[in-house]
Amino acid sequence: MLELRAITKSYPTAAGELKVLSELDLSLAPGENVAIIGPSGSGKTTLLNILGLLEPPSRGEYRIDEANLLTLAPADAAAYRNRSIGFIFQDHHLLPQLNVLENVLLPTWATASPPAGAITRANALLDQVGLAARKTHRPAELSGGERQRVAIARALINQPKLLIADEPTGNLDPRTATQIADLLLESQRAAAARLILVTHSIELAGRFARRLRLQDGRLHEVASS
Amino acid sequence: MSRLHLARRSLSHYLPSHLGTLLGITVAVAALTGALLVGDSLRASLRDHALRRLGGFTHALIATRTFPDTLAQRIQGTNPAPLLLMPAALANPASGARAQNATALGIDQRFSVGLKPSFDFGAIPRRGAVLNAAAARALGAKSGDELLLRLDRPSAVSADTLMGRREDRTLTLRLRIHAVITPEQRGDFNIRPGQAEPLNVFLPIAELQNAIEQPGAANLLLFQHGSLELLNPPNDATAVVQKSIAPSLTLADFGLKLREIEKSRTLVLESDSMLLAPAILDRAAAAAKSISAHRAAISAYLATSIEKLDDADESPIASRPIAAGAIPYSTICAVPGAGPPLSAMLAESGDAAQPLRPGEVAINAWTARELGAARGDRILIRYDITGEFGKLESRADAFTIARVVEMTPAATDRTFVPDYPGITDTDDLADWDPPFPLDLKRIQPRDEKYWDDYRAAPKVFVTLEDAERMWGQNAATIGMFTSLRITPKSSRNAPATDAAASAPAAAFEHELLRTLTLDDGGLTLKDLHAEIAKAARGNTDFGGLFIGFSFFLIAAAMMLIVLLFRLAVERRVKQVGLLAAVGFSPRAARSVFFAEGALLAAIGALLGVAAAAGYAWLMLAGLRGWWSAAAQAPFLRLHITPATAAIGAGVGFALALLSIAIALRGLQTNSAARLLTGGAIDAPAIDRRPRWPMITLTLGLLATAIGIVGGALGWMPAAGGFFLAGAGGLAAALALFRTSITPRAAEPSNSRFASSTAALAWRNLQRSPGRAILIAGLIASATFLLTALEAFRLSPADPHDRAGGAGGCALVAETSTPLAADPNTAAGRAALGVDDASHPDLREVRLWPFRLRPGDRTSCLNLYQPGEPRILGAPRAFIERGGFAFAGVMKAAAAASQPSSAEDRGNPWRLLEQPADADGAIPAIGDEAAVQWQLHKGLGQTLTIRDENGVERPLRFVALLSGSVLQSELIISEENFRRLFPSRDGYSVFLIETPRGGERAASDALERAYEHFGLDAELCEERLRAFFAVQNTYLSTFQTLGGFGLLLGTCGLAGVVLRALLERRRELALMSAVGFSAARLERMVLLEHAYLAVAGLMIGALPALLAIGPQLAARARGGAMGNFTNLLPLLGSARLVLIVAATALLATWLALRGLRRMNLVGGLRGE
Repeated sequence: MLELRAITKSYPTAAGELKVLSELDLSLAPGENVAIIGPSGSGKTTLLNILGLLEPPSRGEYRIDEANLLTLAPADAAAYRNRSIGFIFQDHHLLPQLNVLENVLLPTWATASPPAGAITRANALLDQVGLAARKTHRPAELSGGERQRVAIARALINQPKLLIADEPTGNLDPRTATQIADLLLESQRAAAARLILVTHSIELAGRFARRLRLQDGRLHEVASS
Repeated sequence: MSRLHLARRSLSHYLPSHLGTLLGITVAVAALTGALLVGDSLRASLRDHALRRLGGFTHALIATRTFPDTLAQRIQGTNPAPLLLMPAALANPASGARAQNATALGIDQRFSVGLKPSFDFGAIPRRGAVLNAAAARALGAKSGDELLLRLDRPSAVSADTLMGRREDRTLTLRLRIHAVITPEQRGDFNIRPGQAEPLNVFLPIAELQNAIEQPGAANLLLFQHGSLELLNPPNDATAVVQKSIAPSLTLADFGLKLREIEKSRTLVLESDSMLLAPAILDRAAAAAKSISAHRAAISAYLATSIEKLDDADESPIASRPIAAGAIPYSTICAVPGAGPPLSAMLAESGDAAQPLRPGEVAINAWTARELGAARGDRILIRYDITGEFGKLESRADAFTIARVVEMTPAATDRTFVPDYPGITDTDDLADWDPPFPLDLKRIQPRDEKYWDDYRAAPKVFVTLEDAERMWGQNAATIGMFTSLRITPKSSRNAPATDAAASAPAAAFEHELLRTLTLDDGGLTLKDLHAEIAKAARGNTDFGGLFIGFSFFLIAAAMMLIVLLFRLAVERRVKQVGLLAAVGFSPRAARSVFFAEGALLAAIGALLGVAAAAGYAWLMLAGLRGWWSAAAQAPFLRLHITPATAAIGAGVGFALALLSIAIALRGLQTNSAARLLTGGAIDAPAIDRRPRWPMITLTLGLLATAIGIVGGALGWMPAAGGFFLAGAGGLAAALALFRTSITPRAAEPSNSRFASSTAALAWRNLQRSPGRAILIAGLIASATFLLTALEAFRLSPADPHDRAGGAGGCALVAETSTPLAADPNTAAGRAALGVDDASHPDLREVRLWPFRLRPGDRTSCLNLYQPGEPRILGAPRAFIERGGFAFAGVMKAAAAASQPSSAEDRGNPWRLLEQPADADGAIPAIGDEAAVQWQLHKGLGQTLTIRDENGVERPLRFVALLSGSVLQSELIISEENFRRLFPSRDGYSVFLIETPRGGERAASDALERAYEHFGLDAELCEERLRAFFAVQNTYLSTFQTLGGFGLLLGTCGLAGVVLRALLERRRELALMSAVGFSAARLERMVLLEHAYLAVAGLMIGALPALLAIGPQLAARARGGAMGNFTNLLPLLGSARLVLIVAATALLATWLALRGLRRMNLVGGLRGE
């Protein structure tokens, strides 16, 4: 079980302390997916950063399968992130100097010795996202949708327990956005991973089993329409 | 490997954006490696230059006196070339051109062996001479022209002794130039490494020997490696030469002769110099002992008068007139009080003469008769001793006649007195030609009769104790004994070997030669190649020096690396965030960028090594041309040593890695989330003030205080104090600046100032404090170094100032032939052949003479490492005079066991006369620059030299002169000089006081008057200017290379500013869109960088002025280094500061040009 308990996040500003998240709670079972919606500045990205161990909360507790992740040292947090968390960003963040296959393999290079079979798995993932023929291409030679597919493959390379997607379709046209959403959900199901997605799109959120609204620093369940 | 793969891919992809960084790495490696190559090239050039001058000779047997040139034939198998080398002065009679400090080389055809291209030195005709090109150039002479060669007339007898000649010591030869030869034809032959071109004149050795009336004399044997290999393949060539020399030596090679008195079989050992050196006497006594022979050292001397003492006369004996009937000009002889030879003489009683006690004398029967004296009577012996400049001082001593000895052969033995040409070989007493005044009127027929019958046989015998008191002032140095008489065992019925009994002379000679060393004979065998290898290491590590000179260039290159690599990383900050997001630990993410930088550094190192050769070539060209005053070595050539190139590349690579590591420091401090949004690596958090500026500020201020106080109070060297104070001040000022640009949360936002252009510019500057510090630091460092160093330029002070670097002497002069008479007195000048009527100007000058042991110059003008430094012996009169400025004086307790008086502290020269320390160290004074930089010693430390007998003698630096004209030599007291170098008689170096304004006239007058002594005078001011030119040129070199660094810094600065503006393109576009005019935006950017430029200038200039404050104050007060006018160079500093400011403005202007060309609309679209 993934559990956030009483998470609070605030930032110092010239005008005083700015509280973004306030006593926020969240529970997520393995294989469950959830979409989080909310207005700009409500703290969606901050929440994802805390979930991805990219940023610590000011207060609160974060556990996955009983492990307290907030007590991890930075290097251990990085290793946990590498093994168990996959990120998909609105900007694909592909490295222009690497080709498609290498970009997918990038997370495996974080450790001193890449895991065995990484290239086979990367090829399989590229096949899964429909880019097997483009694996030697550079990101500059791909369309926006294709780049996001590569980003999804990269997020899945280490078979994570948690997939975090921050507006993955935000820069895409509707048709491509639908395809990417399909691929994302399909991949999540295939991997039996938890998926937490942040979006402004009600339509995209509607495809998720569970939907939450972030407002006033807390998550509120959104009833199915 | 995968991370390396990523780094390789990244480098390949981003290489264009790394070109600036690559330039920085290349420059750093090129400057570093190039500097090391300059050092290598200098050493190799010095070595090659000295080897070329040797002309293929590998070893030399050098003598402080002459030896028979037949030694060359006697040394089996090596076939050395004998030479007679003499200091000389040259003149062209046609043009009047003169060349002092020349060398006359007597050579024969053996000097031509192995010479390519060949030149037959054996074919020089009689009265012919060969000049080297430098001498011909100096004289403006060519083949066929006439040449005047002026030489010293050397004498084995020291001019410091009664029998030494002080007059008529020079001779002039008129020769015709047979040929002018090139350096390749051994024209520049010189066994002493040096940069200056030697002025050589070659003539047949026989002709030179005849000219100085020493037929068969040589003072140098030269060996060649080729000839050594004929003996054996030499593992140790020096040992081979030594082995071949040792069995070939005879007593004559040591300047000794052994006479045998047939009747008594007594052997008499004498020296060419009339006095047996103490070391030789000891060895001879030991040799005599080893053949069980009795030995007695005796000392013959000349009495000017022997007379019977009238005890009724109560007047002091010294003031009594010479009595009527006194016997003039007689030899007297000091003998052991007991034993032979005295015991062999018969007393009037017929018994053997009884022992003498001090105060007693034995006189021969002839003398007793002539004086009417008998045993128990008292006699007065008058005699002369020599003082400074050989001045005669008359003395008289009274003795009691203890014995009157019969005129037997034992008492009238002529071998009691050594041969002296002009005296012992004359037929009549009246024909004597002694080196002292002779009153012929006092010579009576009875004296001539004695001369006819007994020649120079002594009339009086005194004890050795009395002799030492009377004429033994130099007993410990040049010796007192004129012969050693050896009475073989057979005549004393002692058990002995057969050989010693049958041929005692041969046995003694064999034994003596077995124990004598080359040093005893003033002979030194030198491995010339080894000496050159040592000397060519140089006294200054030019590699290190040029690294120092290139410091600013290297530092600027490193700053460029840090700035540009950091910019490149900042540009890819999202990639850093991505790496963090996918699980790269901060260290792993950093290692990817570090590997990328390392690959870049490797490429830069390779390019840098290639560029290093060009850099070194340029520096050497500079040393041959623009900076020639520092090196004076037009022969410098580039030598590339692979090992040095590898070391330079390695160190440069390491420096580049260090710079890259510094550039990557920020990567570990920011959260991945911030980096993913493209946030600046070092964007400061609000209210998060780093602690390092306050720590640096505190430590910097502390260092400044210690540097200033320490430098002023003499706790540390002025230069050390300067750098500590300056560096501390610079660090403190930069830390203060860093603190001032930290953003504050509580700043007012509603004031007019807050929205002003100036405030906007200031806040922009606060956004990237690391970058701001780097830019301000670059400008500050340049300002600091250029300001501070310009103030260290030297210029000579008034030479007439007694407390200045010239000690009040406007001229310094040197003669090729030492002066043995006092040039400050009319009598002395007359003795030197100088007519006062022809040279009236000379009465107005005062010469302070010094004895000279020639050697390697220790001044900064000599690039070679001094092996045996030039030594001056300062007479007491000069020591008492004092003068000169001192950089340091040893405290009395450490200088000697006897505490010095307050008077000594006022005149540090007096320390030279303190007794040697417990370790035998002799007090010495040297110029601070020479002692510190050329000899690598300091105040109170010792330097070991060899005396002329090869004995190691430590010199202790009891005081150091400051900025003095005596930079080329070390000074000891005359008394110590005579102990160390007894054969160096006369005075060759002179400091000369002249009337103000009459310096040049005095110089001309002196050179004319003492032309036959080869006197060469130089203005002290010019010599000081030449010395100071070295330091000044080093400063120029540093500033030139610093200028390159500044140029590089400017490129970096312009690049950084432009890149920063490009990054802010969207922001500027937005400001433009909301109504900021283009002019206001330009003003904002200009102000932002003007803040940095002004801050950098102030941060650099203020600590520099603070640090050099004590120096400036000292100059304003005057002293050795200059006076108030020497503050003028600060104007130069101001000029350089303006250049720095202009450079900073240039960078900003370049940035503004970039801003004007920017398409702000495009930037807005990006937003």
